Amino acid sequence: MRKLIVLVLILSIFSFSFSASKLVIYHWWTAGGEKQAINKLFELFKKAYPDIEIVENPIVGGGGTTLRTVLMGLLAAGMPPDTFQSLSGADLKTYVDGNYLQPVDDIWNAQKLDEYFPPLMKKMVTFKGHVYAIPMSIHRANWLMYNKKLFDELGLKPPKNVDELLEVCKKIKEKRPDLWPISLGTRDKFTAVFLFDAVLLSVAGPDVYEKFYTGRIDVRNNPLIEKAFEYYAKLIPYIYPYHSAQTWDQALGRDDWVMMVIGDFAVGYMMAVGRKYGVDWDAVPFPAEPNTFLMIVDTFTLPKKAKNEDSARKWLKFIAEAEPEKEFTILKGSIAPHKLVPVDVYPDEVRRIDVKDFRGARIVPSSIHGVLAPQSFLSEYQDILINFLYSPDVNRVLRQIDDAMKFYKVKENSEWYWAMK
Amino acid sequence: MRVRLRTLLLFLLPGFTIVGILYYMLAWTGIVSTMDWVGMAPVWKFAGLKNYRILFTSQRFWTNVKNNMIWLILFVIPTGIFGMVLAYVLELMPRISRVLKPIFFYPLVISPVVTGTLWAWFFEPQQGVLNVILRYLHLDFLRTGWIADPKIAVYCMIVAGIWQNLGFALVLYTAAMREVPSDHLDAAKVDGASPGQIFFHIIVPEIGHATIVVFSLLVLYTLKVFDLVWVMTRGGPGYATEVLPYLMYRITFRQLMVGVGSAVAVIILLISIVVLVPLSKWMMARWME
Repeated sequence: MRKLIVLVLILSIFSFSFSASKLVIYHWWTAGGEKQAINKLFELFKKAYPDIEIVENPIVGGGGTTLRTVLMGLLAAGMPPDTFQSLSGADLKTYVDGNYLQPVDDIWNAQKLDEYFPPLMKKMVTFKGHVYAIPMSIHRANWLMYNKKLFDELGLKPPKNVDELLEVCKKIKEKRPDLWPISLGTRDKFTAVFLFDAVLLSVAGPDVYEKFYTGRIDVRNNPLIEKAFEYYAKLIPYIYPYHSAQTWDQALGRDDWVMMVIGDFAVGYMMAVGRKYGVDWDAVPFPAEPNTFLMIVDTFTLPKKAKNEDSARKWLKFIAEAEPEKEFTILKGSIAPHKLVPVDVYPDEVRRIDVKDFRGARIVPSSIHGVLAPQSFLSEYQDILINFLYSPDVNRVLRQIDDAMKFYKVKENSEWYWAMK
Repeated sequence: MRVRLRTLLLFLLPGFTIVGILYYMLAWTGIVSTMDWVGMAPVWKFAGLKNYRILFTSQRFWTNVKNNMIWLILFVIPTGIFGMVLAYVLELMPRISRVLKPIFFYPLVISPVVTGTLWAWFFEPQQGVLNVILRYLHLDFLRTGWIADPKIAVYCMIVAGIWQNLGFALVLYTAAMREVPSDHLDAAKVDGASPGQIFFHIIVPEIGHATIVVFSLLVLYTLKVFDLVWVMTRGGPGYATEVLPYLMYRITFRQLMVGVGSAVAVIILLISIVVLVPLSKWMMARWME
């Protein structure tokens, strides 16, 4: 009997020394450069914490749409991962509202993120007075990429606002009637919103943009919103008409592409298809007047009842640091939110401009990936915009958006955005 | 050998358990459809028929129902009838049928994702096969937006659906036709009946049991079709090609309105019952002894 007790004691001591703690992590970075980037991050984390075994669960599906479906089941069943990726804002709020996340104010303060991140970042992850996620990667949604070869050939300059955009479109159509000045692929749906957002920013500015997407504007009676849709309608004759049959990358990959409003995540795609920056293509923030940074944020969270909460906290502390953010974002094609990451670590001019604007220009969360408006509304809104592109009736679209905003209670569900001053 | 009831029940237990889980999930969905569940976490707040009212007053919902009805009529009937006619024609030409039958059957074993992708490329307006062929044949007036045109995209998808499922109808009808007693056919031939008359007066009635199966399964397929819609158009342009199963997925998992999504699921079930029960009853009365 005594021998048995001794044996059990010895075995349990051994099991302690051999058991590594785990980090069960869910994310959606499964494609090309993203996969490389997250692997690099894991490599650096393993160096810092060699005793933590990373159990990776990559779920394919850009923007985390599939991940959210998977998590819905896991979280409701009380089996959360130790940490998972999330967008910020209204998307993150769905987890907070479901009472699935723990606040991470302590990590935020320990890493002095008030000092190193712009204040808007905190706004996008704060609900009911607490921080619920750690941001670690930023994309910008409002770039105008253009075919430099064509522009040089036709002696054109990239437009700075929507009036100039229409002018450029007109000139291109006159000289090259076979081309469609605005390349668009709405199979992914969100690109229709990207294009409209650029128009809205140019016509109405960032303040109205923020209020519009948080339900604080009388949509049916606001002259600026009406004007934005009138401009959107004016662009239609210059937009590739069969946009719903292609994704944004298919549209961009065509030889006859001219201009596209897209995020900086398209830079990696341009390089992958062998186009030379400054020769074949170039890009300008759009609109340049006013210069606004439409922000898309990726964050990681701390679920309640996480089995390896200690590992998760170590992960969140780790990703909030300058060095890991730098290494990750260089490969990912995004930029680091951390102030200490120098601007010249990024090899391309697009991202160097991104960093300068992120630190100097007005930042506004992107409506659809930001996430500024509630997802339930955005899912309907995308289709309203695409239907407008097929049948532009300004009065009807204002009515539809107003009805949708009321139905999905956009104003009530966006109070969080205005809660933090 | 007498089988004891206890043993019988023991062997049936696994089957009963699985079926029991299925009915439990059905009941759960029905209950959730009356709940005001919006968001990630379950919300058990009774809301009566509110979710159904939301759907019935939504134009998007009725577009979806319309699309499902279009599928029901333009997919089920052509697939069933072409399958039947094709099976008969191939039975009359045994040497050619040895080559053609596998060709018609292959699409059925291809994944719907592959089918959808291929047909989306076929119907792509700029560089798709169809418009390129029409341009080559100088039939430019026939070129149109196809899958990018909100008015005709749904018909393009139905073509893909028929292409994929024709083999299914073909196989079932071929098997049924082989069971028709040859003396019936010989007697008809002796009486001077043409192949067309034989088809309508002998074959069609005697393969009625296969017709019941084929049409029932095709109806069920149309009410569940999700993969082709997802792959070919994502319900687009806008929501012009959206169907109820796609709507159910979008409402539940994208918009997190689980109560309303469950209501869509219940409505799909009710439509299935309303369509299938009278249809089956009619077919069975007509063709079963």
